[in-house]
Amino acid sequence: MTAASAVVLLSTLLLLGYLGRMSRIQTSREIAAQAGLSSSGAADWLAWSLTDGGSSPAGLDGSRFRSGGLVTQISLMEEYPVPPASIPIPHSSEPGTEAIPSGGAVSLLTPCGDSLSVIFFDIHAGSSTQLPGIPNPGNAIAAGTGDASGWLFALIDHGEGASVRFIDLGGEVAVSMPPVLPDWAVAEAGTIDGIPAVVLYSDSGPCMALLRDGTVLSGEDAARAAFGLDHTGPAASSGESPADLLRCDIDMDGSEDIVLILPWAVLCMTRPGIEAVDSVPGASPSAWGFSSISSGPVVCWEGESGRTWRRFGWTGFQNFDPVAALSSGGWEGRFVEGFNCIAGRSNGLRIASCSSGATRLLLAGTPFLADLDPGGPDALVRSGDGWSIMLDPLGGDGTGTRWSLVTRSASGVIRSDTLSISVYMDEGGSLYFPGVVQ
Amino acid sequence: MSASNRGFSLAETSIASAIMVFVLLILAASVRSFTAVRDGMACRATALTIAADRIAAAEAAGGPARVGTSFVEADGKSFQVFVSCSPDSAAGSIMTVTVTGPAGGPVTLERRFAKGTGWL
Repeated sequence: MTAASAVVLLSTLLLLGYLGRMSRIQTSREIAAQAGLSSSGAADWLAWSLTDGGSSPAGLDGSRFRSGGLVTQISLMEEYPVPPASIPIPHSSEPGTEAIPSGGAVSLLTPCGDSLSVIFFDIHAGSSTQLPGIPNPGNAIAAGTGDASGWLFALIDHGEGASVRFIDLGGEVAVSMPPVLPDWAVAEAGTIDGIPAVVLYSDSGPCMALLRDGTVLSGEDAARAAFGLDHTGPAASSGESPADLLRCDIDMDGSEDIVLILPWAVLCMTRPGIEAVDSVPGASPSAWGFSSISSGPVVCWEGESGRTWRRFGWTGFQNFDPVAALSSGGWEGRFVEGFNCIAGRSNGLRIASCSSGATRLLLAGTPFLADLDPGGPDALVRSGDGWSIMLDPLGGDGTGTRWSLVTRSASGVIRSDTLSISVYMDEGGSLYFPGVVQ
Repeated sequence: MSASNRGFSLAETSIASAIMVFVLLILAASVRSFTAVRDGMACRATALTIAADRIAAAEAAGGPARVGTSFVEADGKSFQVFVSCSPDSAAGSIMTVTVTGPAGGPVTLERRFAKGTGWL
């Protein structure tokens, strides 16, 4: 009898023990989940305070962040300068791989026999996606249309049976075939009213616009489409160099205009029509860009008589002597300006040269400039290891900070994280990289 | 004649039987309580996963979160999911997810987003 009672008592105690243990484990699981969210919220808030909030790292040291009944103590561990952010693009080391920037993403195109391998790299997520291979038209030039539209890039074929192919995020191909594809020097892609489109430019300006829905515009309609194009990547040249396209406000009326750089002339177009045509006998454009310091588009002409700099002003194009950073380098091709610095190619290397006299080698290799984020110009750089993205190189060094995030409940410390945040100031405000939470 | 050699009296047997029944009732109640709590814990674990998934989806999307009440089937049971967003003094939003299953009571998780005022 006594033994039976003891067995029952022990069984009951065992069950009650299991109950207590289950409750404790589940409660700690829920608290741990909330601690993770509280710590993530604190990291979010910290990054926001350092960028949009405009707070200094020292001013945030010692802050407390409350969420879900828990308190996260924020402590600054160290502060240090960080060089311009450089992001290597994975799977980009294959020879012959081309990088097509568009709308905050990069498409990597690698010819593989009769097909093109396409990898989509999202710089915000830092992730690569291999798309199904697409037929390789061979004689085509690619221009980015912008991933926001759901379409990545357009392949403009100027061989026999000329066509424009639009490729979407799923690797699907849509072909637009105009009756006749005109001779064109420069093409740019983007969206018109949300529809992926390509605008082709001949020596006299925009000559054709092809939309994904099959619409083909020419003449004045093509010119109107060019001004309405929400472009997302740099222009693509049909091959004869130099040929390029700048979008800038040449007449200072607040709206974007078009400057076409041709091998023998420069054509400035505003909405009403052609504003100016400039040329220098015996010379061709060797460097060009928009310079706010020089108040307009500037072009360096190179010929038998040497280099001549000309800029567009109220009275048309005139000679001028380059000043500040513009005078420091033997610039070649397109350059960009910002923060009193110029970035471009000089003597085969990409550099940023500043009016202070400081010169920075961006990265060795064969780069070009593209706008990949909401800030200033970015550099896409090809080196032996593949392609890399250098964000806002003209902004110079950023500020790196390391933070300790300790989340506590009333009963003690639940979770400790170390967080790195790099903040870069650019012309559009600031951007940050959260780094790795450890 | 010693007590060990004689049989139990009726009174003794009745008392012993009553004690045995009482102890067995306690054991049965404990088993029942254990089963109920175990089911409750299983529901809370599922509810926690549902709540964490909702917040992870909002983190991945950066907003907007779908506010209001919805129902989710998991492990053969129906769970009620209530999502609310409210403005936060630190120029952001507080997203609260409360998941209630058939047992175990509600599980609530909270995430403060520094951005995301647009999804209020």
